[in-house]
Amino acid sequence: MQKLVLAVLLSTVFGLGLWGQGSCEHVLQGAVSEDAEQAPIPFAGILLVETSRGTVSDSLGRFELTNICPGQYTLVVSHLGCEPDTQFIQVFGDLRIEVKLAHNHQWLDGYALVEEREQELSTLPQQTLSEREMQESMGQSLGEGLQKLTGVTSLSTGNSIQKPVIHGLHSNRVLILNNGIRQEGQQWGSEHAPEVDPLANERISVIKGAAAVRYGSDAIAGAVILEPAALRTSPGIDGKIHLAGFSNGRQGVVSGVLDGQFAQIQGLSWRIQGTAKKSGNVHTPDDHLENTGFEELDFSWAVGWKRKRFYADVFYSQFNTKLGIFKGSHLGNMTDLRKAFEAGRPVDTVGFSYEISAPYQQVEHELFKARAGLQTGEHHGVEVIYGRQYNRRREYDSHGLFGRSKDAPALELELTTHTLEGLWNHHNEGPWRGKIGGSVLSQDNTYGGRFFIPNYKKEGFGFFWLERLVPDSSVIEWELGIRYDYQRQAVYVPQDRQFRRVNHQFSQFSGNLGALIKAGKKLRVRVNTGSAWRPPQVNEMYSNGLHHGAAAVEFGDSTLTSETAYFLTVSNEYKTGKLRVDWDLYSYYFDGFIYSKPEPSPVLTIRGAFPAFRYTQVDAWLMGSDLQLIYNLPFNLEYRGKASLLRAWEVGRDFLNGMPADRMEHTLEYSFKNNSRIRDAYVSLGVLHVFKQSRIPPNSDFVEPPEAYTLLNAQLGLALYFGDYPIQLGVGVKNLLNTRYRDYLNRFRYYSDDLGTQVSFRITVPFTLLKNDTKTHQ
Amino acid sequence: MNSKIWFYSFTLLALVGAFSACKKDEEEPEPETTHTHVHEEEVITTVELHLTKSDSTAKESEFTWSDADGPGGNEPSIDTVFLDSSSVYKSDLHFGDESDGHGHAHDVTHELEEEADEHLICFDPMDKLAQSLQVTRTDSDGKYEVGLKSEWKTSGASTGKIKITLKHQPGVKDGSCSPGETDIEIEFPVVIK
Repeated sequence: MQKLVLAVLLSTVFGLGLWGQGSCEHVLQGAVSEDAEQAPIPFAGILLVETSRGTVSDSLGRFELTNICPGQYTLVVSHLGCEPDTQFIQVFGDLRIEVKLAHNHQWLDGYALVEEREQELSTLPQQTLSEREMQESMGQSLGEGLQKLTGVTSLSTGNSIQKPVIHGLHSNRVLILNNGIRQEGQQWGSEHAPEVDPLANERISVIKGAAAVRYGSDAIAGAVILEPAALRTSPGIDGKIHLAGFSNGRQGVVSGVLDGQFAQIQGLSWRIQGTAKKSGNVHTPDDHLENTGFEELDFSWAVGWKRKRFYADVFYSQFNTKLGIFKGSHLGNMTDLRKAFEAGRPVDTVGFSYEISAPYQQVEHELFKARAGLQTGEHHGVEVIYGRQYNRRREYDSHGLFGRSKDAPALELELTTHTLEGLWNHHNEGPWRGKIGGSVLSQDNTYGGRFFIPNYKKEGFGFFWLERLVPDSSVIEWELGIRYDYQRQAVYVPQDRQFRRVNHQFSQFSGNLGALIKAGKKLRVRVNTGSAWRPPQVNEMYSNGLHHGAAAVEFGDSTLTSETAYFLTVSNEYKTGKLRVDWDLYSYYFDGFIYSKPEPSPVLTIRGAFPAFRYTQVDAWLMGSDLQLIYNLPFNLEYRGKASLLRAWEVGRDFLNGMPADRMEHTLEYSFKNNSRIRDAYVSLGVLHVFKQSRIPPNSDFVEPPEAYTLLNAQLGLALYFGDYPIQLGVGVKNLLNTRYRDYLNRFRYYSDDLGTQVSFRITVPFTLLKNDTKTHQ
Repeated sequence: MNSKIWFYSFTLLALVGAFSACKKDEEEPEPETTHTHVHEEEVITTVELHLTKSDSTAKESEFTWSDADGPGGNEPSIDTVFLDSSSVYKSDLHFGDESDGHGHAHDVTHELEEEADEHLICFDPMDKLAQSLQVTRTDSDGKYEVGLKSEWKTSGASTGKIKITLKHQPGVKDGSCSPGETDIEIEFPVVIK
């Protein structure tokens, strides 16, 4: 029924677009800018192929073509040193087009990078946060920012801990590739968020679907790929400063980056980057939530050296955060939880404060990466990447343990991971292009304090071979990949006052077959099918005891076997000048899906009786659909619609719990006309509706899932030009009407409403310290 | 000149960073080489209820609620509390930690006494028992009652359960059982003859 309503809604809006046949009086306006720096490109050539008419952009990168008849055209924009851009446009009425040209990376960035950008896993849907979406989510956590993408939601513990959920799956089924290295953090609970700084990255994208063959066997639901901007390619120094402020929590964010290249040593570039955040107690429409502030301090640096056939770079980053845990969520037992839920709202005892006291978490993540690549021939290259990650998590409970200092963490985990990856790319003149690679991983974990997961050592390796067949004439491209992974885990299980060493070995093949069908110029269909697997994690095998945060007793099962997923993804992309539709359909069949299943009877402890959950394996089936529709309306208006549906079952039994509710979002945006000072100005209003998650198995939760809710959000942004420098300004409002709501995937729903109105301000200022022409400075 | 300074300062920074990346000792997860202990944490596993009938001849009786291996594992062992009707008992509560596995509880009651202003023990005879058993706290942290010591007063014969709750109320203690979080919540079966 809901599907039907949605379909009607969307088709109504869709129908509006069939207006506007007219005479040859239309005007095509546009602007050309440089992709990375956003600087306007003057003297770019613009050609409307079908009419053989063209023009050249002015000093601000603007151009205009008049007297255009309705119809379909091919627009080619080119500029010296840039990749030409070809767009297929459909003219109904007057049209404005933004063209971004990327610098030609052919000799600058080396062969491998260019290949990866466009062609890796071309048969899976990949969504990238647009520049505007990056701006709008500036200063927010990765999980929050990614929610702008259709089909990506977030599993949260309050406002500061958010984990991305793709297609209803998360944690160790979603791989995070941070600057080319698979993120190895503590992903053992819903209160463990990925330890990355989104502001250190220029490009954040999500592959929706099993990207396991390329990235590692556990990328079952997909991969989140974070890529910093390429290092500077010409001598000089420039930088950017980002400032953001958030009303709810009175949060401030300062971030800056400096990029440079030395004039004396050809091709030697560097970068330093840092981010600081501080937030106090956030509030719901009614109350402040005590102890919900956080602090974060991140920095990174990189040095790279690039010559014609060789490149090498080193990257280091550190992420530090201290997160307050909402006092009202730290409950002793089920009686407390039931009371908190019946009370409906927490007691607001402190009001606003920046103070963070126990309980809190302190998390540190370090990444060191070294990479070298060599172009071994005109059409092939090799690349080696080494990464070392160190992750330390300390959790402080509100109650200092008896007999121990209050300054000592109740739980301390240290995780050290080394990874090494080698890649060989080939891109022949013929129809085959592909990539062969191998990786090695070594990881160990130690814990101190309260038992959560045992110490372990993990070692593994994997090989993959991905090949694409791109025939010149055919409308179908094929993609074929195979991967083999092996993993060995040595777990030191505490038992009878001793440690017992238990060894586990897992190995399996995964593979996929994909096709990219180009049906005409407007429609692209991507089909991908195959299998992926992951070994059971240590927490799934060995957790034992009371999980405080979750108010539940959890039991692991050391006899768990690997989980295998068989998937089919069909992704349709339809593009005309005014309309763009992305429609994804996906289905997973899991053989041995690992999840924690409620036990029939509660467990009696000295804190009272708790519900018990045991990790178990079932056959599961997930299927869903994501739809995104963008339509250019008359009067500089644009409509964007998004909808996501998901159904998940334990095969032959009931629904699976913990799956995101269906949701849809409608956004209407108005773009202002550009002038010499103000460009890309827009204002948008969005309505987000999240349905109630009524599909949960009985007795799987402490309380009923929350009701459906509707939120109103607004955004405003513009670029202010001072000479060549665009200063980006923006204001965002989330939950404009201060609506009381609770989200099923936010654990705080047990204790309190979600956040009230959140107004955010943001500004990005680019600057140049040292011009390209270094001679004038010497 | 300018860029030379940049070059040297940057090289310096890079070196510092590279070393800071490697400075940490890599801890081996094998138990022999790590400072981790299985039961580093101290927990409460045992509650002992000491009851002394207030006529002078009676000796103290002891009832234990114990879950030596913590949550999960073996079921806790729970004594039944036998009381005489129409009597008054002096009660003493003791909290212990048996998780060291040596079979005897390490007494943590004095640590609770030290933090008396942050703790409150609540006694809740349930159902029918409420009519024949009345518990009054007899100690104080200077401002509010604590409950480590109490007086148990019985009337007629009855059976039922008493719930004993230890609340942790740092900064929010107001003499009532509502605020704070629950550290302990146990039930003893009671028989009044």
